[in-house]
Amino acid sequence: MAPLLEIKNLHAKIGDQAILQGINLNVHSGEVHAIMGPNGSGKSTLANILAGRDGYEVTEGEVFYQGKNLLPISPEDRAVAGIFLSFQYPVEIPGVSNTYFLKAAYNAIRKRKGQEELDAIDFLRLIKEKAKSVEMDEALLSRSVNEGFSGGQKKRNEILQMAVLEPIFAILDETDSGLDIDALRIVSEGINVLRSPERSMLVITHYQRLLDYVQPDFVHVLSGGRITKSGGKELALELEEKGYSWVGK
Amino acid sequence: MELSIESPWLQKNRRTALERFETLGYPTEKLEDWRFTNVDQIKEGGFKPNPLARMIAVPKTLDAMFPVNAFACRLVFINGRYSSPDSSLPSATSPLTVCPFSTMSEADSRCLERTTDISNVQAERPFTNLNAALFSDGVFCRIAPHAILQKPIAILYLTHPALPDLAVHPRILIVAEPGSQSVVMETFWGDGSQPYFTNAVTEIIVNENAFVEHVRVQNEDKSAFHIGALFSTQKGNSRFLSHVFALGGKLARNEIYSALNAQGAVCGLNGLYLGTGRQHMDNHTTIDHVGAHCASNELYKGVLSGNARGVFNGRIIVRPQAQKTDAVQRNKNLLLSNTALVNTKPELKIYADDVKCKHGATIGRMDPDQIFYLRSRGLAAEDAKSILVYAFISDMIEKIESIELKNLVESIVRASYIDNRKWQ
Repeated sequence: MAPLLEIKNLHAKIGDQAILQGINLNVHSGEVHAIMGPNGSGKSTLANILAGRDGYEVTEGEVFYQGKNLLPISPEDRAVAGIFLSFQYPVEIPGVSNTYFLKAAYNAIRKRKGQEELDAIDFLRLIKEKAKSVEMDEALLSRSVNEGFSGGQKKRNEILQMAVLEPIFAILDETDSGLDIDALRIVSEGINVLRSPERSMLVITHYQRLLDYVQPDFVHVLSGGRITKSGGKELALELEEKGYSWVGK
Repeated sequence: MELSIESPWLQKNRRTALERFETLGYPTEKLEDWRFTNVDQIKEGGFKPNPLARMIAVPKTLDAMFPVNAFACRLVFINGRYSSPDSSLPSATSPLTVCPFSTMSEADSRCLERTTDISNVQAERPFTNLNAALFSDGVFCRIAPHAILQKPIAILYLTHPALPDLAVHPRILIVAEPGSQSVVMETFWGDGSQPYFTNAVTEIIVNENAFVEHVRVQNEDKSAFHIGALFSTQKGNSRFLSHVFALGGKLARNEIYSALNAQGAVCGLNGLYLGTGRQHMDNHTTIDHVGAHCASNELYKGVLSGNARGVFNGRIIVRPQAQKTDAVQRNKNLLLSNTALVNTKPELKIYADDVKCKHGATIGRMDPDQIFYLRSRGLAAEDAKSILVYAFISDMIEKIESIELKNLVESIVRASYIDNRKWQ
């Protein structure tokens, strides 16, 4: 079967600085891939390029998603096609309520797919049920998006959005950063509930501890803009023990 | 059309005002208060009142916004003239007295004497003099002592002349007697018509312990000129809350002079100006702290796109005897294009030594991280921006305390600015 996501020899730079220097990666439906690597290795750049953020120049290589060239597609069209990025630093949007925002997003995607939009009452029912699944306080639903949220609440809010939008391919960019052990458990459970044969995930992390909870099918080490080592979940443990210097630059 | 109020004292006041206007002349950019706003087009437009200007039907959408039963009264003026069939007045037993000048009795009209014989503050303003000289009709409102009005007062100026040089000089006088509470909404509306000039003057007297919330929506035609002045005078322990929403006009200026004359008076001045295309949106406010222990809180926000230009000039005067004054002034602007421009200028004149005065101004652009965040969730770029523009302005609508008017203003702003993507 053709991979859901196919990254071929991807090179990218920011300004004059080369960040990605030949990434090759295939992700099939239902697979969870972890990408680990030291700071500055290009993990977040990869996540942002897949989600369609401006500011990166792809100088070489290709990315295919569902067999289509992904790179020219706008961020919103990627979302409609089922790509979701859980942000490392979720953005605060004062003046826009969390529920309003999610309903607008949810219905925008449904409309684009030719599906019927959900009315306010049905959507409220849906979002309350999903909030419960990520143990998120309902009071946060009526507050402005991420405004004044703690680090843990912001990350939980990302997982809530993922639960509502039900993506096909989710990129989790350092979802574990800034979480205490309880928040990490809750967020991980939220992720695990969403694992399914129809959903693939790219879990980007600096530390192994998230992978204790969200067990990946594959682990890749990103270093100097390239994948220098790939393996099963045991690779993460080995990395934790030996450090990134072990896999070399 | 002859007004019933053309008594000798009024004729005298009109003459004096006209003489003052002729001495002052149209303001020029050499005057500090008019540095950023050129009114040559008004001067050269040849605008003049026309008592024969035709009455037109109130558009259905506008009519539906102001259902008669939702308001304490509804006064409609069309092309400067009071339209009795479109209006509804309070009953004779109501604690609210409202009447158009043109239907006032000679005895009642004496109350106009003090407003048309204008104060020094008004005397130095050219357009206020022009209004005093030429106003043809207007509204007198009086809220009886200790009366609490359950519903807002609606005053609607619809201007849609068939000929290109009509000037309308609306005049509104509101007297809130001690301990009364009331909400007043003034709406200026014009759409798809010939150029015209509205030169409105509103005067509000807030007596001891009274509360007045005043909402002004300026949604004039895009070819119109609008000068709207508001003078509020407050007595002890009174509260006045003003909200101005400037959406329309080719050139529009909002002038407020708010005097806190006695101890314990509090005022809030809120304003939102939304300029697009080549619109020029000017706001000049003065808060005059005369009494001690008074507080003022001012927030004006602007969103400017295209080649629009915004002006905010906020003057705060703290008189020598106004000790323990607490004044806060903020101005925030969002520029949506490289060619939009805003001039913001605080002007603090503090003559007392035991006061708290804070002011600040910001000018910013839309945050690309916020846009990307919304787009990454499936919202089209233009929808994402629309949401962010509304997010910037929504707190100005939230500040309206009257629920009915908050909902009404929200629907007007959404329909006239957000949903039709006028902000682009």
